[in-house]
Amino acid sequence: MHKYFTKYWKSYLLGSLFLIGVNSLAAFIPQLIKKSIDLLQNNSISTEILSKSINEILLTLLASALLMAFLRTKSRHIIFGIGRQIEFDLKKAIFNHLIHLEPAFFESKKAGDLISIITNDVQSFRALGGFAILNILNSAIAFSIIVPLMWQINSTLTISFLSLVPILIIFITYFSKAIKSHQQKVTEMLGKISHFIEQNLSGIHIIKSYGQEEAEIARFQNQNNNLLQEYLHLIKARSFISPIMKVVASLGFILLLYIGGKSVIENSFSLGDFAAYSLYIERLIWPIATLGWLITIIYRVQVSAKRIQEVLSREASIKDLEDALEIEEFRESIELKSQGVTINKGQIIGLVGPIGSGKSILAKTIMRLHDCDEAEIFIDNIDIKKLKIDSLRKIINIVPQETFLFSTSIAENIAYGVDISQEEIEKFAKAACFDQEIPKFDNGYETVVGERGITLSGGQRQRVAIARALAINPVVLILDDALSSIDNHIASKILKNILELRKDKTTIFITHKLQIIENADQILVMNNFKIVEQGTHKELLEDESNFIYKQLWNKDSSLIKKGAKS
Amino acid sequence: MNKKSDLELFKLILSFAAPYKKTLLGTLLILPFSSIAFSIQPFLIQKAVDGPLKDGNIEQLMFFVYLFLGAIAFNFCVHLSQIWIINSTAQKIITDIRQKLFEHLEKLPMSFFDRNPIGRTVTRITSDVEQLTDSFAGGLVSVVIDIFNIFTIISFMIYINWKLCLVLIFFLIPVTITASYFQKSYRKSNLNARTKLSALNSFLQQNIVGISVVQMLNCADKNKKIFDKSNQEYFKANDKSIWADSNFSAGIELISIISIVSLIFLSKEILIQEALSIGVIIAFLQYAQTLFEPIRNLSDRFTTIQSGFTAAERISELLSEEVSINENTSATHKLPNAQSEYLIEFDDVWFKYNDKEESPWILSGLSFKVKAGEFIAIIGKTGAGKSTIIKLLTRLYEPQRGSIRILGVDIKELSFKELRSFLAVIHQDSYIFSGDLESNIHLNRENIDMNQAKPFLQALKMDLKTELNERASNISAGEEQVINFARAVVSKAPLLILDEATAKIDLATEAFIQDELEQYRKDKTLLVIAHRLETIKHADKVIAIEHGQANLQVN
Repeated sequence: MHKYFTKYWKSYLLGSLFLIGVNSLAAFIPQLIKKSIDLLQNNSISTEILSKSINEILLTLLASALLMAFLRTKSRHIIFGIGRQIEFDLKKAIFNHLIHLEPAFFESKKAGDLISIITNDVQSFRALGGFAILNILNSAIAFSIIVPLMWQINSTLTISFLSLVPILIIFITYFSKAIKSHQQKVTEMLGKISHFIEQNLSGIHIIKSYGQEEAEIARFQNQNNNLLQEYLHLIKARSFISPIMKVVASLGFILLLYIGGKSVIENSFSLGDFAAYSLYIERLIWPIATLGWLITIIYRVQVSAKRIQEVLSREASIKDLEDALEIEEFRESIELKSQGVTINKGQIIGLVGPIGSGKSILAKTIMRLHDCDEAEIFIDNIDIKKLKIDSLRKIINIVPQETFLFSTSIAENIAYGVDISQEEIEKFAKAACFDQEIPKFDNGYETVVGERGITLSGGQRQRVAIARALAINPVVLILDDALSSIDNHIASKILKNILELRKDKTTIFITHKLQIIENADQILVMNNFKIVEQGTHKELLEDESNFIYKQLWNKDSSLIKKGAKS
Repeated sequence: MNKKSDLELFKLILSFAAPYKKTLLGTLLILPFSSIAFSIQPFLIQKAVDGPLKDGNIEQLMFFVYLFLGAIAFNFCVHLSQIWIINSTAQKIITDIRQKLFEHLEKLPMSFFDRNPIGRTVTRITSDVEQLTDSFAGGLVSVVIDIFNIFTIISFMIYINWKLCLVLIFFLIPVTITASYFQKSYRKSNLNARTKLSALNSFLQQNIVGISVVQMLNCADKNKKIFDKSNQEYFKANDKSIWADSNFSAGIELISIISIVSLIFLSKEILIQEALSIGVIIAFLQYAQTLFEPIRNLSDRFTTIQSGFTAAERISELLSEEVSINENTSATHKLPNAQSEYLIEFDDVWFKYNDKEESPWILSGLSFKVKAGEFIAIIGKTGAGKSTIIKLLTRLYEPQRGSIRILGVDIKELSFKELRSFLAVIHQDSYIFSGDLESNIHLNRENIDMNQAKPFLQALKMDLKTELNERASNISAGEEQVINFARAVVSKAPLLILDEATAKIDLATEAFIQDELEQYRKDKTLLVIAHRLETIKHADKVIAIEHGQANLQVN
């Protein structure tokens, strides 16, 4: 992952140059102060000369301070900017990678984890590329400029001062490690708690109808206490950091007082030196103090790099072959070779079978959302695995049973895959029998749905999804039980509209409501991941060997008769 | 809802802190000592420079060195315990608040959950509560400590030389103004960046959660472009905030040097007239540095505190959500003694989900009666109010008018526990908790007969130890619903309610459930809502809901 940083080496170099400027000035300023203090101590010059030379010094001081402020702003802006740039690059890389991975990958991962990779883990890279590198450069430059100056003033004092640095590093490393491991546990616990609340709220109607509130409260309390315990461990480790920093800073002054003081008494050290030295100590304390943070950031980046790498190196298992073919048009047929099934262009197909018989998986396989080695599926005599996925998916779309709506307006949800006018949006909403519902929402078509808006019922969601699919109008449309939550009489209206709008296109209905597909050109019956019966409704009922369909149908028709009676 | 003043919110927070009053007051008492131990250090240097260093007295110098060491050690101990006590107490208070919020949440009526998206409520109990810790332990307490430090530093400076002290204080004014100016522009651009970030994150989340839809609709490339644009906007917004931040820190540095310049300039003037000692100048150089530190943080801290109040306000809003459905907890075991010809009675029930004048009634004078042992079917169009009946019967909602009775007892008279163990509801949409199948069926209830679950386990081809993922991601919708059935039948509730419970399952599974239902008919009362007629063909009576009223039909 180095390339994300090395790419910006020129900017880092420029930033470093500015930092050298800043630190040289920062080293120069105490010299000026020393000079002025020594002048103030000097009784042998006249007041006028004293005043004049001090004024000169102060003017130089002011000018250097201004220059320093300018350089400081520049250096921070450049290097923090690189951090942001790295964040931008990484987010882009991860998103563009994720969006092409097959859905199965997302089923094996928690959504929250993936989001946290793009947000939190990328953030630690930003912290490294900006804040951490800025401070590492700044500290290195400050030390290499200021320490020689300190050495010049008094070498014994400087050695003793520098010996404090490793002590501090040992302490900080120790506590940072402790903080890091506790912080991780706290984050985990926090994740668990919000996960718990989320589950609880999603199932609140079940919890209430089964009187589970008290049990849930007890479970929550347990989690809450665990979180507190983890927090207390973390706080214990964290409490040491700031007092230790302060002690080390103060120890610097004790050394100055003791060693420097003795030198002053022995006359090898002027009071101006004493003051300048105290300012140098102040200068170096900040770089030392940030060491702790730097160490934590570097730790964090190591963990984050692993997690990011894991995602980026996860190759899409469903991807284009190198010489993938573009398919521009669907001309003839879809063949399921191993199943001995041919679906012709313009046909209406019913796909039925008991739960778990593999209907949805078959649909996903046709669209290559799922790959299955045995499935030999051909479109216009080309194996779909040889086709460019993108071009295949332009031809085939699925409306799933569990519909996902994006958290935007109803209109945008309908026009999700395409650019269409408001009239067209309304036309498709009408075809999906959703137009009657619109006046019930405060903002009509502009009403926001989903997580940040209102919650639609299962039937309403399904109708939006159907309108969306009709808007995209693919050559092959698979409706995977997409009418299941809709009342029968509305469902049959929608069905009529779908068939009318898709007259010369192929539509595959996966359903448990057999009346829907009674007039289909072909009905495929699935059992145990195989198509076991096929034919028209009439053929299936007449042929003695087709018992699964018959069984399903007899149940269904008996209730229709019953319904007619009551 | 009334907007609460900061004072009221502060009082709310204090009420949570009340149990820890003694600890908190104790910390307040040691504050001055830690402040003094910290600010005395430059003073000691001054005394040493002007005393032993001038006179060349090594013994006396050692005295100051020891004194200094003592101050450091003392400050370390006090500072450490202060941080530990404040932060651990804050965390305990936060734990209490979190618990209180969750308990309150569990008591809220369903209408609350209809109005509020889950994500928002989760944020209340997690991020907002965390924000409180940052704001009050990190923000408020630090401000108090900073203010103490500023006061002790100024006192020492006045004691050493009040004239120089005035000069420094004079410089505090522009520092504070610059600090708050830059901070303001920083905050503004930062806020802008956060808005952009949350847009970016929400787009990201939707694409991850809805990945299959994105791919099913072939929108991957289009969404890549949208993400890129949003990512760029975020980047640009950040650039401004980096700029403001860089200006701020460089500006503060500049001012602290200018203050040193003027200190020396003034020292020169004073020194010439009244012989100012070098020790004083050195001490003041240090005080100047330490004094600016808390002041430059001050406005930052106020921002933190302000966001704490925002969080507190949200929390108090949640806490003041009314528990509009009150439980009659005093009454237990009313039903065993109740005697009535009818198991369920709906008597002129009027209900709408929204109390607003213009919103339409869902039920308008609904009345019907059910005898024990009957199998009742409820039919009607979507939105006719079929499920509403169940929600009223289980007291997830309360009717505006009319009464509902079980065995002649108004359900308001019953405790939730008694009411909800009397009936078992199988909802249209189920919910699977992460855990094994057993815990999902048992749900920690009393009086459960797990033997009843056996036929369902066979149908599911699973055993009790099968692990289920949350949101049922590893099972089908049909299987989820079978689990939902098992949940209901293992309880000994005499009333079994099916709320469009077979909508998502295939006919074979439905046939199985039909068979099971037939068995329960013998000793249970069944109330079934269905739009599939198969489910209700054996019903004794059919109640058709139309225009918010009931039409009884005998099957």
